[in-house]
Amino acid sequence: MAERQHRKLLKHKQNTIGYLFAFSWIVNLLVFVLFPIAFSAYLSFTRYDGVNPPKWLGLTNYKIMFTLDPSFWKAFGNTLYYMFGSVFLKVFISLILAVILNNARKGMGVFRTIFFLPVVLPVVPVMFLWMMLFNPNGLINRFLAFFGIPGPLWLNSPAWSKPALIMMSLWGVGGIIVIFLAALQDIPRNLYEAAQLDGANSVHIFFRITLPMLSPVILFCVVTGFISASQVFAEAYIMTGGGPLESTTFVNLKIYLLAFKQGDMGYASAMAWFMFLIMVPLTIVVFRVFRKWLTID
Amino acid sequence: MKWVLKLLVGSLVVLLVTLSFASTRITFWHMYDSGPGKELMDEIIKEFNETNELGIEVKALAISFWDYWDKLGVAMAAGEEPDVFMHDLGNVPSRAYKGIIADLTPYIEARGMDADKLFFEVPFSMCKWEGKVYALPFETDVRLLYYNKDLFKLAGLDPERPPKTWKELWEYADKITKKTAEGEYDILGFNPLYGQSYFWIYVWGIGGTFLENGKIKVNNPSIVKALEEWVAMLKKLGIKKLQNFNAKYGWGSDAFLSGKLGMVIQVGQYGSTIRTFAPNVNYGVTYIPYPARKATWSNGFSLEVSSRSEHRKEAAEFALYLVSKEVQLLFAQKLNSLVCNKEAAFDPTLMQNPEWKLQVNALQYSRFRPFVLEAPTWYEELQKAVDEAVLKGKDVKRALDDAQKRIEAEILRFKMTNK
Amino acid sequence: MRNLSIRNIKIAIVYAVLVLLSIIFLIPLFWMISTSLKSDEEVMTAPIKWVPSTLRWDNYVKAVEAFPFLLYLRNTVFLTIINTIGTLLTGSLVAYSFAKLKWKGKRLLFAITIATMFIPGHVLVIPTYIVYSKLGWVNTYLPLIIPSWLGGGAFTIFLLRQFFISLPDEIIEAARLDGASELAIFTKIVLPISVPALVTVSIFTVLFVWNDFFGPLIYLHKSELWTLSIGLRSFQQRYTTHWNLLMAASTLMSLPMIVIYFFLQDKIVKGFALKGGSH
Repeated sequence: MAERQHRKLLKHKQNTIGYLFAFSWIVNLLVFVLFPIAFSAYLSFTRYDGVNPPKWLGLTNYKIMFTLDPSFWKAFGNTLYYMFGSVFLKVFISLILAVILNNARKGMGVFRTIFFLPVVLPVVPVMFLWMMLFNPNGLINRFLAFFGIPGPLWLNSPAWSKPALIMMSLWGVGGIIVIFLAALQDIPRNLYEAAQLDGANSVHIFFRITLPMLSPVILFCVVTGFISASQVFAEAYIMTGGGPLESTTFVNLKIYLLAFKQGDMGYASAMAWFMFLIMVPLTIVVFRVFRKWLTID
Repeated sequence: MKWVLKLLVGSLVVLLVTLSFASTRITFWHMYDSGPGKELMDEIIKEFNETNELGIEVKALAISFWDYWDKLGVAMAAGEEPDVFMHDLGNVPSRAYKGIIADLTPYIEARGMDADKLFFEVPFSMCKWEGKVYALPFETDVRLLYYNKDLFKLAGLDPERPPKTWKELWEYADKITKKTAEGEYDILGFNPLYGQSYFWIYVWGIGGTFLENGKIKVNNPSIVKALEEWVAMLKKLGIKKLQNFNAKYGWGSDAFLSGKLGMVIQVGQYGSTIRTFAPNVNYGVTYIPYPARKATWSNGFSLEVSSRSEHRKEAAEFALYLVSKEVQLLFAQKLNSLVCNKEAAFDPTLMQNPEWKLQVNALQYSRFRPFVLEAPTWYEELQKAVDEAVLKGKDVKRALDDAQKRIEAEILRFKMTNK
Repeated sequence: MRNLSIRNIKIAIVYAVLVLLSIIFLIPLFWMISTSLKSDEEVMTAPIKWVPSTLRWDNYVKAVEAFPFLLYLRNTVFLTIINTIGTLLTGSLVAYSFAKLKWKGKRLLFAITIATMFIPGHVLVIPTYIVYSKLGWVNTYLPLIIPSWLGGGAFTIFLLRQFFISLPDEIIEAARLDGASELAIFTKIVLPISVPALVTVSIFTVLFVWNDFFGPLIYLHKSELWTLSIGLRSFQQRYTTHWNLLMAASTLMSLPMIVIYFFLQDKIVKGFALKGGSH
């Protein structure tokens, strides 16, 4: 009896400590995060012009999305294309660069800073530069011409605009590299030493030790990468305006235009919730696949 | 402790004194956020605060044009919009319909003002909805044809005789155009896809219209004909080559400023852009020639008063001050903005400037895109149809039919959600 | 001997690749600075001039005078410091609770936390704004500060949790058996060995707050409260952009971030040197 009592008490104490540690976030979540989310869920069933009280519409917004608005599906396709095109490549390249940059050898600090630069610089100048690089007479096409390859029109071509934006996103690997660099520090050094004593080569060490030890952080990067890629916006808004021929109209751009330019928050919320309902299971699948992959022995 | 008491009493006295002279505080948001524009606006507001007889004190906030709409939109949703604000002259009725802006008719009548006479008709007509005035026209603009006199000379053309007809335009353009060894455009006479040249101006230019019995119809025969001509024109120039040209002079480089474009359609403010960024370009400016009749396109900014403001009268008073002759004259003189107050715009000294005169005169040929409450951005669907016809080679009639269907779907969506 | 030379070649190749990539990554910075020194006439020319014919240093003076630079700088520094402190203090506590403490509802709450990130943010702007408006916080710094002091946000918590989760349970258990309180375990044992993770979170927070544009834009109605990122917008007018001045102001704005990052990343890797051979 006493034993059970004791365990119960311990559990109670554990719960209290857990809540106390997480208290600030629970408040934040309830007031500033979940309330607005619930509100937007409600709005998705209404007409809300951003001024007058929302009017209940039932499923009308969703019905319109599925039956009356083919441009939504185009935007949805563009978004998936961009997500799958950029996330894995970006994480993969970051991982390789991070492993290379992760040693205290001379000059590495400078390299680490250089690769982080695109993340530091303000958005508008960086995009402006990319517009110039993607110019048909710009640096990229001149470089291709050097090898006799005729370069495309990039952002002005419906076929090449998305690949161009994906290329541009790779420029932002610095943000992921820094996470990997920090995570590489968490790997106990004796694991490496033991492996070296066993005569494992560096490729072996990478797959047997580095990769599994990094798996929580790799998963983090894939999941947050998915989230941010599904919400790609600024590039399209600033650089292409969604064109040419809607080839860079992403869902988030549509949501923004609806909510802010057309004052149709209800329909915008319906689109956002549709994205949520697709993205969550999709991410869970990706997460599971990756976890299985990374922890394989 | 004594000094605390003194301080308290002192501040109370100050507070009471200020309250008794009291001013009605109103807030005002606008877009003159930098340079001479900001200086002038600050000055004018200061002047108003010091001289108005109603004891109104205006607190102003200047926000960049690019961010203004988001900030104002969000503030409106929470009922935190300012008492009086600038907005888009092109869609006043959508806010009047929502009920967020106040009917200004009584304030105009109280002043005994003949607003129809005072303001240019084209911008002022955009301020009305269901017979009432919901906004005051502050500033408008027109598109004109700018041409490079040096390129005219080089092509053996008289730089003082710009094209008057559409036919002349293309004759001149062909003479100016120069190709590179690879057959790409080095210098282009005129490019209908560059600058502020839009298909809808061409539609008006051939005498077409977007309205049929007051309803929007983007696939009526006049527009089909216009788009066929438009596409034929572009095909003649070579769409791929035009695209190359446009991509080359996209962001951050301007074909006209670089001396690579003989003629360009640009907004009336472009003259000052040329003088700043390319003082060496020797330019002239004229009406846009079109096949059937003179046509151009206007946009502009309005002044609107929040219907939820507690100080609507004072806010309207300030808005009326901003469209008064004296203030509008200052904006015209110092910023070269095309003001909507005719008395200010027709000022004799201003009219001596030929570029100004041209803008003012062009206003009588100009129009706004028709406003459609159920589909305020219908022209984007039209633009999409134009792109499909030009870039994808889609059949003109089908492209416009599809655009009409999308617009009708949008109108249906509005009706479904606005029961 | 042979082994050594192969190693040297390998190192040389790695360095060569890094240098090549660096050049690509340095283009934006170089171009930003080059544009910031151009005259008005050179900004819009095509083809692009990579090096201006005369260096117009006075662009920097003009850029700083175009808006209240020092005031906005002060506001930005204030917000950056206060938000970084708040995020580190509260975010790490919350993340530790999710990673290593046992409590009822933890898994559910964490799942909800992650799920919130999936809602496209644009539709939450107005509802969130309405909450702050009802609290009477609009037009103060509170909407821009309080969330940082309440856990710092889902991204931070998720990131720190992933780091904490790989800490060995044995050290924590051992300390518990020694009778250490949970708070003591957290501050004395967990935090000191998590320096790289905390530095990473600081980098992201500093950068986010420093460059945040939308928050200050919508919540602050008094220009005295504005930040550098809003000031930058004054160079873009409706039909013209003063690219040279914009780039000058952007360069001034990014320099502190580059310097801070240079030293912080050093700290991440130095943490390794100190920790080497531990556990």
